[in-house]
Amino acid sequence: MSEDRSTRRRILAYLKGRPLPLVESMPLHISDPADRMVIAFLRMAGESLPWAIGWKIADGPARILSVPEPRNRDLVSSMVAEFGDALISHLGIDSIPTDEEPIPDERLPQVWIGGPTDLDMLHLIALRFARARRGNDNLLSRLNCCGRCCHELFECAGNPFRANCVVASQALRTVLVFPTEPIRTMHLGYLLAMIPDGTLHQRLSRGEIAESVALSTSLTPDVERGLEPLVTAWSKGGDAERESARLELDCILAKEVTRRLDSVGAALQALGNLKLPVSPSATSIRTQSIRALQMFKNYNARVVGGEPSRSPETDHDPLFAASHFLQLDADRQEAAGELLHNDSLALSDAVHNGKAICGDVVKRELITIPPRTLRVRLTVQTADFGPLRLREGDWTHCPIDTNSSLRWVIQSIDEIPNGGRLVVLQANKPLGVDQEPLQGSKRVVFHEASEPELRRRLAAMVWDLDDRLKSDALPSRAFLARLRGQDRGHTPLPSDVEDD
Amino acid sequence: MASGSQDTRRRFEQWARNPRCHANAVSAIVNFPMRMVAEAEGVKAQFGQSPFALIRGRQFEEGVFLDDASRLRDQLEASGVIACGTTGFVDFRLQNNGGPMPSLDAAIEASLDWLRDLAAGRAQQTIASGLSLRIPGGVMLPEATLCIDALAVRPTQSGSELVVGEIKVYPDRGGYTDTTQLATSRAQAGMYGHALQITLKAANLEGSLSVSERGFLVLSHSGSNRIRLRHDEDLRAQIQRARDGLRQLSEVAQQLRPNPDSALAVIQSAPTSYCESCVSFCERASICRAHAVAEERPEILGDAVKQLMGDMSLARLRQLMSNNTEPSNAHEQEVLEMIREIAEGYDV
Repeated sequence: MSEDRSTRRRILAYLKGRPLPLVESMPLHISDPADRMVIAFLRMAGESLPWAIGWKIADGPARILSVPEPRNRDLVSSMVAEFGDALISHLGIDSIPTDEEPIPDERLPQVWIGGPTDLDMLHLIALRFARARRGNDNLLSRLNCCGRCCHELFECAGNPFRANCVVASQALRTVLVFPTEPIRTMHLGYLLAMIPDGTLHQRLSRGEIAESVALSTSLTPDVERGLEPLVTAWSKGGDAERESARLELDCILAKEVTRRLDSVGAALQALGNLKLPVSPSATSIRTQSIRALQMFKNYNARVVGGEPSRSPETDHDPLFAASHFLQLDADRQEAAGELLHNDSLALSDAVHNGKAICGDVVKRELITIPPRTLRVRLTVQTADFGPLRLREGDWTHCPIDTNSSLRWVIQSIDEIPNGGRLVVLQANKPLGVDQEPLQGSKRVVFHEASEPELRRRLAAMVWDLDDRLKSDALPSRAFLARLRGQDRGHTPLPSDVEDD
Repeated sequence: MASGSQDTRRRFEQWARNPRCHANAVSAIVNFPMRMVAEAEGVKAQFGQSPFALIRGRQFEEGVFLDDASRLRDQLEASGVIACGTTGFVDFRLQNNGGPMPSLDAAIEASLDWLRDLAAGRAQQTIASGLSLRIPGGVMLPEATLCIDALAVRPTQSGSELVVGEIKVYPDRGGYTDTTQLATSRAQAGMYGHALQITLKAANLEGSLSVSERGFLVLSHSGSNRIRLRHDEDLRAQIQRARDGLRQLSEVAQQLRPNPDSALAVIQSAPTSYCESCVSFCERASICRAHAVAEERPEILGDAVKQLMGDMSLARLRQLMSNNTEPSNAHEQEVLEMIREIAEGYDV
């Protein structure tokens, strides 16, 4: 959605005195409770690794781990390894690669976290442990695997075409617009306080109270000032004093973690209470997520087998970073496109932004391209007369096409004197008479698909560039080549896309 | 030295976050913290620093300069900021920060002496920490002082080039490093670069010393005290920002001419201009927001809404939406049409 329209919706939400839906159907995939793992982290100010970690699966009891001194690396490593075991078990990671395609109705284990700081913590754990090389062999392999899982979850959380890891505050902002400043909507507690019934004044008051309670991975300075003597006592005191300090620290940290876990649970509850019908796009996101998890499992198994692991940074591997960025951008656009056909609010935004056309099919014809290729050509009449970013030659996609790889190329755009446009589109693949697409559909939507395609091609070109620069002397090239061929599917062009 | 001249960089950044707010400008100019204004008005301040963060910051900085800054030197040499095999470290940090200087005045004097020695070729050190500068000319009232975290020196044809460095304890995460944190660090380094330029000009050292427009950031590794150097950081825009900002701030100071002795009363009576960023730095933001909420001003929905609606209040828009009155000008008509168009998708 454009910023302009989200701004206007925020004003409307204020006038109505309540958060307003941004979508008509739930674009997020929310797994069954048994497949959801809620995670919360705490860290000491100035430190980058966790002080405490809590997690909860379904309605089971919360498991909370903490250390009395988070600046002690050994203590933190043991805690992270234990958390990693639970995470690996939840995601079903094993060390044997498989070529089997994921089963479509296979379960999708999900991870839910509260906010962006928890997401940062996943990345920080990945940075510290995914490629750690020194330490006890057993502990090291557990930490490495935990680091890789955290890296994968971090990347998935930024991709709207993946539901493996969901940030609760982001999920609420995806489906609702709140009558307040965007900066305040970063606080999960604030969002949750705005949702229940009440006048606008009541909601704002509840929000202000809620936002005074920290829900990020950091504790408030007041709480930390209270913890300081306990940490000092544990570090410098005698045995009895240490034990007492440890117990007290555990208790305070557990209380903080529990509050954060409960907030994520409340966010899930709030999303369920909206009772939005599930968007068909959520189904494709689920399928993509299962496939991504399978690819990660295979990658992880190969790393266990001795291959190098990916860097959680982008700076060390600019080719991978560039390709990944372009793929991600393509996924973002595709996810937005998937939503359009099932959601009039999202569609109205896309049409308003000139990135989609919505109209009636007024003519169907079969065009023969010599010698014997048949192409379907549609003429669509739109009522909209607003600005249009689509141009002749652009590729579009119709989300209700059963053939998901089919693209429609705009042949011409003509304005109708009394309003609206006539747009002629031609399928980019040869189709037989019995394969007429969009049969029975009258009102159809075509959204911009050139850009995702363009980005996928550019992503492939990045790797072609790598081929030209390839030097066998560099050990990482074999690894990159494998990534190109197997994991990421960076073939020069998708085999099912015909280059017009 | 008057306490009002200290911590110039923090005060400058405070002003730069919301330069439209007169109360904020006065607070920055006379160095009367908004926290104290908020407390005087009955607000319990939420900001403050964690004791652990302070310890960590101090320990990290000590580690950077341990053994004549050997860790920093390794990184600077490896990244080509200074040539390999260089030696010499000079420390201007105060004693309470682990340095040898007994007072800020002593640090400022020693820093200037060292710059003169460097220009004359009598000083050979290639790394300096805590270089303290007093900005001459009363740019901010009464005057301004800055301490540069780290400074690298490399020879040029005409003398030496000074490369400004900024130390931060947060971890470098490659392309995922927090962009706001990076921008803040660069802004700080830019301010130091500008202060150095002013100092060299005032001391007539420009002929033999120059300030590099590229600096470096010293960050940490995740979960470790090892340092990660981000070198070759382009500071041109940030130096320009500091130059323009300080000039504007000086003009504001001349216009307002606040009396530091009655700072609280002056700040309380100065007009405010609430905006979204106030939430992140000003302890008085809740008071300003409460006023804005009571008057239904558009800024309570964020800067973008303020930009869209201008001076039109949300109460006025509600009135127009309920068809009780007609728009009084073209702007009101335009806003009304935009909101009505969006409202069509909902049950109004």
